[in-house]
Amino acid sequence: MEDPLLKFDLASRRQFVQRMAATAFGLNILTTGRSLAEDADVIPTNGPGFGSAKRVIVLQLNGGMSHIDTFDPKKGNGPGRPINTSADFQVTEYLPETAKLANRLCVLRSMTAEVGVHGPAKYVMRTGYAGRGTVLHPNIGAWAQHYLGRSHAQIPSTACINRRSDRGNGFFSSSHAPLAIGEPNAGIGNIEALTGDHLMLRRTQLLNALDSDFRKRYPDKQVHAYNGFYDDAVALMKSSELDAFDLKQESVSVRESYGSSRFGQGCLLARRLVQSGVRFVEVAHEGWDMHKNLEDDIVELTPVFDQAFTALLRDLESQGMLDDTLVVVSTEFGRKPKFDGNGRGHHPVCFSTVLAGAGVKQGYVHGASDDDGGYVDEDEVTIGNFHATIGWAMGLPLSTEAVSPSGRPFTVGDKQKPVMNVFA
Amino acid sequence: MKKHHPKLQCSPSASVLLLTLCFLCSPAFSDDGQKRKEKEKPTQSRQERLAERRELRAKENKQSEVAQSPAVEPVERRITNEQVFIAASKIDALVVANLKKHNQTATPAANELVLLRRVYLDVIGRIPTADEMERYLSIEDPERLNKLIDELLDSPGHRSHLFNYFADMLRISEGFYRVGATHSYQSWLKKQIRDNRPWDAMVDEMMTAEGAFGNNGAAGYLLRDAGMPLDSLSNTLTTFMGANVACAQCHDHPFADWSQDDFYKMAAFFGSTRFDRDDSRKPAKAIATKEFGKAALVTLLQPNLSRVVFEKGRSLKYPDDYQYDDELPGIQVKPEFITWEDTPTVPVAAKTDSPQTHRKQFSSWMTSKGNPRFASAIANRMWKRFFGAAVQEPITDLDQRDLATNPELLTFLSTLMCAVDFDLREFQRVLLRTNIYRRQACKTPAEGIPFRFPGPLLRRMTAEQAWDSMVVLNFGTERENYVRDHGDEFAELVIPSFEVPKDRKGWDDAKREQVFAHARDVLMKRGVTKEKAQAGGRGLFFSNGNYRGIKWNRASELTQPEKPSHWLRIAGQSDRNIADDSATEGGITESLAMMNGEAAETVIGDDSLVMQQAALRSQHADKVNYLYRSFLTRSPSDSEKQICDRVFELRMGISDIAWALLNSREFIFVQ
Repeated sequence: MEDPLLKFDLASRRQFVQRMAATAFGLNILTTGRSLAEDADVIPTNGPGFGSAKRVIVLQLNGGMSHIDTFDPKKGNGPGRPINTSADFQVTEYLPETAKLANRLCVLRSMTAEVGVHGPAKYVMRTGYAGRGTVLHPNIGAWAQHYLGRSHAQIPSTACINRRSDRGNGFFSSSHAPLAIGEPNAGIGNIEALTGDHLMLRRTQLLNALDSDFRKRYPDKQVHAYNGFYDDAVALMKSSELDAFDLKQESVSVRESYGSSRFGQGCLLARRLVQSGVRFVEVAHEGWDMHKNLEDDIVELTPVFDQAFTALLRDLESQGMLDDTLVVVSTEFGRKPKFDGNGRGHHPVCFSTVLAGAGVKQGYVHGASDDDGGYVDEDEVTIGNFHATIGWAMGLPLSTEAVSPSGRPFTVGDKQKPVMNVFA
Repeated sequence: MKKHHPKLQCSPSASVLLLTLCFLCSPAFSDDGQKRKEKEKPTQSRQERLAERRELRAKENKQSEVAQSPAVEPVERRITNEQVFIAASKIDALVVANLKKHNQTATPAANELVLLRRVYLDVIGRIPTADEMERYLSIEDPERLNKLIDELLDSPGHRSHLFNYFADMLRISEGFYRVGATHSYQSWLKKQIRDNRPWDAMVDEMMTAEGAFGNNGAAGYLLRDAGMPLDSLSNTLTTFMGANVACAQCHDHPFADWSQDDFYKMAAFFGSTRFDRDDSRKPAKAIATKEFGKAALVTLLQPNLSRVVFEKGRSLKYPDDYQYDDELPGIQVKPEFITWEDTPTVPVAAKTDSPQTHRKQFSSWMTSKGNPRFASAIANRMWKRFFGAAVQEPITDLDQRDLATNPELLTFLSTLMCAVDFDLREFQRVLLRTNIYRRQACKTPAEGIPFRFPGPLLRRMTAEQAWDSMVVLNFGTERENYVRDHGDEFAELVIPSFEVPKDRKGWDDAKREQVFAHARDVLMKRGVTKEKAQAGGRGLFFSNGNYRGIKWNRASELTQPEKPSHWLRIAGQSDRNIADDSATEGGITESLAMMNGEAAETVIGDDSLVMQQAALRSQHADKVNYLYRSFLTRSPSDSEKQICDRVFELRMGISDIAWALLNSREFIFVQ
């Protein structure tokens, strides 16, 4: 009698690695090949800064960071006093450590967006596209995996910390989905099997055998995605790179330098991940929605950010990684100039973001807001431009379209131009 | 303002064990910048871990004995069985006609066990047990499914399941904005569902709620967006009417027919309403003495300070950056309703000059049967819960009815919603009675291809459905009777005839005496001794840490939402910051939790009810059969039996089979 266990179709690690290799360098498989060479608007794939960022860490300050109370101070407006920095621009007194490292930063003070509601605005800021009912857009990490292949054979190319994946793969396959880490101290949870390796393998084989009818009956993309997640999870369990997820490998002094907050430890974990070969990491920090008690809230929140952000920059620099790692500070929108002594409302029209490392100018301010910080005064940067800029730094072909399963063409930054002025 | 609207439209002692277990899940570092005491988790053997679980389980079982058992009330039906049948037939006809028009056909009828599982998951949010399945199969009655549906709709499981849906939609979160707890809001919502309160009445109560949050849970809705009147309105219009107004808050909508002016005129109905979540930290500090410290007072004062009140003289003004009329910035906005073409019955407020009635007017207008959007929005949502996709997607944008995959169906569903007087239970009864609901599940259509309901869509369980299914496997059905409700304890904190001081000076000795008198009162009623009171900090008056060791409650009776490291969150439970934000996409983290996590270990462990029941069976085949029925609501096929035989030959056991079934796609997807 034929042994049914022989038919168990578990993808072995070898198969897994092979499968990865098949997609890793298969740039041509996935792009549309549509040539835009004739188009005057075509964005080249070389020039200053192109491909300077081998890896990217995006710090997502959720809720809407008040630009006026942080990176774009306006004298007399708001509780925080502007202070001088190591560069020739000011920040508010809430960012004393950041001020010391201002000569490493490139602040974009002319960001502009359209949506002032958290959910949709976060979506735009993360994907470069406004949310639609019919298509899901990828984050930049997924885009990079699409064009450049996987950044590591065993661990995911993109990760997100202190947040969910939220379909960061967009319309790309689920193999492009960011690995979500909800609690940095716990690292990658549940990574140890409940049983020994041998039994675990048997169990997995059993699972695939017993579930095969169902999978055949439902050749559904969601089901397919799950099959992929399980394969990847099993591969990850066997990976030799798991130390990357373990903050206990860091010295106490390094851990403390980032601060004990979830955000601080998340930033440290991001550094470990990019060091181990993860290409794109998002670290979320909640609590920037200051409608009320801004004065109290900002005093609570900014030290957490200030410490973690600067520790990350110093750490990357000391490890010699800052030259080819791009650190991005992003937020879904800014806050209104009007300060009623209490808080500020949402303000997408004008806000600030920050770039550091990977060939961007240092101690530099790009663009400017008007006198009270309400409108962009010069060198407006749209979210499309912002995405194109990060894409450019990562060496992504900005004019090469990818077609969603529904046949619609998309690009990194929605065909908008990178801000070339930020590159040294 | 005329809008185009196409036609109608834990080591030894138990407490130490507990602490250790809690630590496993809690961060050593927390976001508030405070370093919690870092306790090293002792290295445990599997034996120790199991012993620990057993103790915990014994504690849990003891706890569930004192659990509340909800009173069974007589069920009132708004429509007869015959009317349900007629309405269901009409829906079927509309779906079939639409399929035919697009050269599609309905899928074949679903197998009765597949359907049984689907009904359990859709109505009470969990899989049926093996016993329930057998009981069902033993009933000889052609109406057995319909009768089961009615029975399930009236059961506690249904309340729990519907609560999960609304908790996601209404952003029920216990620890919102650092110092607020929302127990009155949760309690209120649970009561509405238990009483089968009509949807329009529920929404009206949220819109018009007035007073302190502590004893008026409905105020929780507006207070969720305290201090953000524009965002609040945006959420309201989007959630309850499917009006895509997100853009209009700042500028005219680029595609839809919404202008910023429209938005402001609608927001003006809330212009004289003050719903601020005053921070209790400062006043608490101001009046704190040795008797009652700041931490305790923060908790006591918050349910008093968070409130919705009418404030004379308060009004909405056009913003300084208003772009469309230079004359308007700073000018008071006059409230005005949006009307849609072809909707003659929308009651337009005749008198909008009395600010005190504005909010009531808005609510009457929004929740009116004449407002086609209100009924459509909830009907479309309820449909999506059972069919996997809404008639019109996304559910938050119904501005163009002609974009619905089946506009006639959506129109009929809206009419039906009005006809059942917004009785959600009756509405669900109709949907569950349709022929189309009882068809084989369809796979996800390619992106951009409209789904016309040849049958329900194959769906992944919600995080809560999967969790509650694990709860029933682990503990059986009794957990469904436990309701976590701290509404009354929370309401006790509301100080009678308390006027909130306008500024710091108002927090004087007299105020302190009033607050302290109430505080003493509360403690006396609760039998808290003076010594204990003096030792009490933050949790003296209210502590939501009322887990009391219970980890395996239904999702609706756990902390709302759970902490990020909890199984529920890993599986997609919303963090409740954004409405309708739960996810079912899966991911590596979730697969790891399902394969290797504590939840899985418990479900397939020796102490779990399903494993104990399986172990009682002497024959391997019977054990396998029992596991299949329990996890997948069916018997194993011949080839599956063969594979399982081989499992025993290889000296593997039932826990291995249970592990495989739990991790199967067949388990987590709703066919």
